[in-house]
Amino acid sequence: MNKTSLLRFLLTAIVVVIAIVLGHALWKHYLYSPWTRDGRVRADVVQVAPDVAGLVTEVPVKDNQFVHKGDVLMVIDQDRYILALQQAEANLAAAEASARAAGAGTAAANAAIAGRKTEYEMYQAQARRRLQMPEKSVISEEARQNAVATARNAQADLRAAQASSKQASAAAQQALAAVQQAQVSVDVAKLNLKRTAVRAPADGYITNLDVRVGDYANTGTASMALIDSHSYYIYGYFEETKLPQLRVGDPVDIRLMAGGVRLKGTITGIARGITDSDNPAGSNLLANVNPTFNWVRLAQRVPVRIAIDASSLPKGMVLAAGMTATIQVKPHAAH
Amino acid sequence: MLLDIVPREIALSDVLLPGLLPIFVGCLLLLWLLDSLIGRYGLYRFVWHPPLFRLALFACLFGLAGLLLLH
Amino acid sequence: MSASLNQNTQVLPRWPRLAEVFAGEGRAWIFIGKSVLASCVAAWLAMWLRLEQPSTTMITVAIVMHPHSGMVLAKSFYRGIGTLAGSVCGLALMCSFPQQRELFLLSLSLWVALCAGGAMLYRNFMSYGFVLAGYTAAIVALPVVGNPLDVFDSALMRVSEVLLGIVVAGVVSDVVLPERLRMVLRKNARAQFARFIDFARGSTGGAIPRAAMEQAHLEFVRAAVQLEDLRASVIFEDPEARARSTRMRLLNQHYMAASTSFQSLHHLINRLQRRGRDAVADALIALYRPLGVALTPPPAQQHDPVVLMPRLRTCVDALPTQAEALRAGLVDEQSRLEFDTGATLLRRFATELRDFTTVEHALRAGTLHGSVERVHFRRGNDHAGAAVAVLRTFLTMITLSAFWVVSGWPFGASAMLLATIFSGLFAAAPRPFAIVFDMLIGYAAGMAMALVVEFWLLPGSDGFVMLVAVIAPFLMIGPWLGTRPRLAGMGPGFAIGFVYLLALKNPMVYDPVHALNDSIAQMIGVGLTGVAFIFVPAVAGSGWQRARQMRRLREQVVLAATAPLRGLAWRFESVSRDLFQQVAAHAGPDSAESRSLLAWALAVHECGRALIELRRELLDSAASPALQQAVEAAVHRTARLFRHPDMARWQSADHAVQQALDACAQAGVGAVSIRPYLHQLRGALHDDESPMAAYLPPDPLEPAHVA
Repeated sequence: MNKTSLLRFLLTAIVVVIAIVLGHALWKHYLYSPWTRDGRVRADVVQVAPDVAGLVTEVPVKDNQFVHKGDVLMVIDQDRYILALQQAEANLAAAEASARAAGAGTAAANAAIAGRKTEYEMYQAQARRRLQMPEKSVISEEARQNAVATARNAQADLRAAQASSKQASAAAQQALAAVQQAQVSVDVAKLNLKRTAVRAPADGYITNLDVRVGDYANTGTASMALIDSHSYYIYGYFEETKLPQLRVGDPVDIRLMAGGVRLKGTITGIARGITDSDNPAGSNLLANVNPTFNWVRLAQRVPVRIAIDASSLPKGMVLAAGMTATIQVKPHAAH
Repeated sequence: MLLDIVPREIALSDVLLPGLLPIFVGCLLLLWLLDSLIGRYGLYRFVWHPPLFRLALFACLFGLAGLLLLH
Repeated sequence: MSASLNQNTQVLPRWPRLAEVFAGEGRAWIFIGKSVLASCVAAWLAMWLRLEQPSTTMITVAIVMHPHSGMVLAKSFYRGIGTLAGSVCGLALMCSFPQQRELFLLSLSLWVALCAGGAMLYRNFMSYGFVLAGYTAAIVALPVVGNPLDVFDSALMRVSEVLLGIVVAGVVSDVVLPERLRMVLRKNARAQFARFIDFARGSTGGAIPRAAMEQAHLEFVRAAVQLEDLRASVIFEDPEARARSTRMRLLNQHYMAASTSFQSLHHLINRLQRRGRDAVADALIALYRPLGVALTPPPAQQHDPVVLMPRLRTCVDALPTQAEALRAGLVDEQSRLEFDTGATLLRRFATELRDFTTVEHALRAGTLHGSVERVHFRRGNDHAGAAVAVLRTFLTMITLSAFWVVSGWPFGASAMLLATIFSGLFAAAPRPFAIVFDMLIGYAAGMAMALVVEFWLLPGSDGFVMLVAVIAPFLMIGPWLGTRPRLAGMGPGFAIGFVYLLALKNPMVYDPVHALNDSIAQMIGVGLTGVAFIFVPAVAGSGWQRARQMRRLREQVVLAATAPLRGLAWRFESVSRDLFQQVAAHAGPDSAESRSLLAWALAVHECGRALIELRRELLDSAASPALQQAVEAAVHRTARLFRHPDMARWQSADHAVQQALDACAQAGVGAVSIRPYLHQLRGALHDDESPMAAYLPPDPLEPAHVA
């Protein structure tokens, strides 16, 4: 009897102990082994916007189409920009003509200076001679003074001519600057014309194409998104309890929910901060701490960035940003 | 390696379920079977606290299956 | 009786009554502790698994916790099925009528009402499944009635929460200090065996007064029905009991059969003695004596089937020769016929007693190999009661819906949810006024406590340990009330009210305005359920219902007269007892009604069983067509008498039985096996202590016919 009850107790106890051990192992495995159901495929997205405004005349791409870098994505009404270029060119020609006229004015002014100078020298010599005559000689005092005045007058004329010349050269310089201005205008008009064709900034997929021929495109307003096809990566949101087992460089198994496709990857970075949901910034920059706390504390999730090994991607696999992935890190393979 | 057998996550008509769920249900069925067998042959005589034993048995089954299939 | 108890417990406690009180208190406190443990574990798991509303899990625990452990897997299986069915229904309703509130509320009310009816109809472990089906449909659909697009997420969350609650409640009640019904069953079965053997032994001296007989009958019936109730619960407790279940049923059937034969025999002896036919009575008592001797081994072994079985066997084998010897001592034909009737009954009783002992022996020895006869305890299920529950719940829900729709009340969902829960839980409540009053008081008290806890105690506590420390004392109150027989109605009300209004969340949301509004809505929901109970009272226990069941009890004789013979005896014995028990439970003790009921029950048992044996013998014997016709006429007339008892039908039945007896007398040897039963039937019809006394001719003349 005693033996039987001991056996009964022992049998139960053994099974219970095994159960506790196994249960604990499964618990640890499920809780602390570095895996998560909460992984997302992400990619760099370029928001494509036109650089110039105007009517859209041509959209040569389709939604979700693959484009190479430099492919035309849409064209904005070019006529307006051709006209603008022509106008700029005409302005340039006008400016050049003005510059030439200004150059001629400068030459005329210089010639006038030479005439005045000659005149002045002549009257100065005349006046000097008359002054060298003795007093009360053939030439009267009046004539002598007249000669001096005439010489001074000629000198003033010469200075006036010199000033005119300076003015003329300044005008010439202004005209030259105007030419340069007109030239830049032409260049801008050319650039605008070139920019009427919006081109793909990188290889990738057009998505969310939100523009039609006839739309009016505003400068800087995005009208389609381009997903950079070389930039796919994965964010795995790991519970904080699992973080100690993660290292940058650890290899990762990725299982996409879509068709259970299995990929390989590597951890490239661990986020160093997430928002504290218990403390959103209040007004006046003061903390707004939640007055209640969880009865049971729950682990927060921290994003971990994972690069996808391109060679593990199966051919024809459709990878879309926002897909769900299950991620398992192989921590023992740390190098 | 056995990850191939049981996915960590299964989609049941577009409802996502953790992979442990089918294991849980399977273990319940297995437990039920074992339980009837043990009861049929009166083997609970050799057990001190049958419900505790049953719970422990379930924990063993579930723990073992979970560890083997998910590791 | 006490001897058998002592035998089981082995050690005699010094203060038996005190020990009993302590044992009872101990069981109650174990249950209270288990309830609190289950609630807290459920809350923790729900929070840890980030379920939206841990309070739903806790409410589920409060609903399904029950003092007795059962087999968790099977019970939880039914509850899980109920939950899934309910959520699917909630989803379907929401998807079908997202914009039509009238249709939606109408169909939801109908579903909840049907579930309440189911809970009423299946009084055992399946009733919780029905309660949960209604409850889940309501909690899935009602909270998202404003934004139908969320219904799927809501359904997923609610189902997870409810299933978690079911699993936690099941595991805790099964693993932690389980209250084993099996022990109770074993104890009851042994006590029943011992009592019956004692009674049979005690009565070998001869006559038992009618009153003692009625009391004994009441006791036997109660024991049989209780044993069946227990058995039905215990098979869900552990597989070993399930393996024994068939034999247990057989045991009960043998028990019932033996008790009927026993009563018939004693009625017969009583009748003979009353009529002054002492010679026959004495001969029968003499024939009975060896049985008494067989049942009287040394005192220590008096209830041991191992000892009793061989003794009974030899006794049964010896009976025919002894009967032959005693019969030879009787001179006239009439006496011999009477003696034959008694001897047949006695042989039947002895055989059944032997079988009863054999099965009991097999059960105790645990030799369960080989198949045994499969018998079933047929229930007299109450469809009218279920229909009334459906009607009541439907009216409650539709009234609340109408009020909700008309008033645009923001908390209408809460009221409807509460009405759903309580309609299901109390569908089978026997005393509507008392239960409703208790329920309301309990609910109000629970809500008041919840308000105190939520706004005074919880805000100061931090972390799960503090939470448990604060709410555990209040969680104890509900189960505690449930274990006090006089306050039992308040228990579920308090527990659910407290947990529901507390609405634990992780992290906690304190919103006094919402809580107060919600509490008013809940009171209205519970109150309206109560009002519905008063306006559409339960049929269980009402005079109308008792009269109806009384009629059904009498109609069992019709069943005995007309149904196919195969398995009929078992069916007759169990249904008539179940019906009797249902009526007896509600009739006041010692009232005129209860006496009439007992008298009728005895008459039904005796006549019904006699009819069945008669039909069986008729089938086996090579009776002439004329005789067959006469006997069948007697059978049908008797059945008619029991369907609508009155003087004319009694006379017609009596006449037919008399004619059949005459036909037997003419048939001679070929009808020897039929005669005793006909004679017994005739005796039963002429029993001046049975309800037949009202139809007897005024002068109890001894019918002076000679065969």
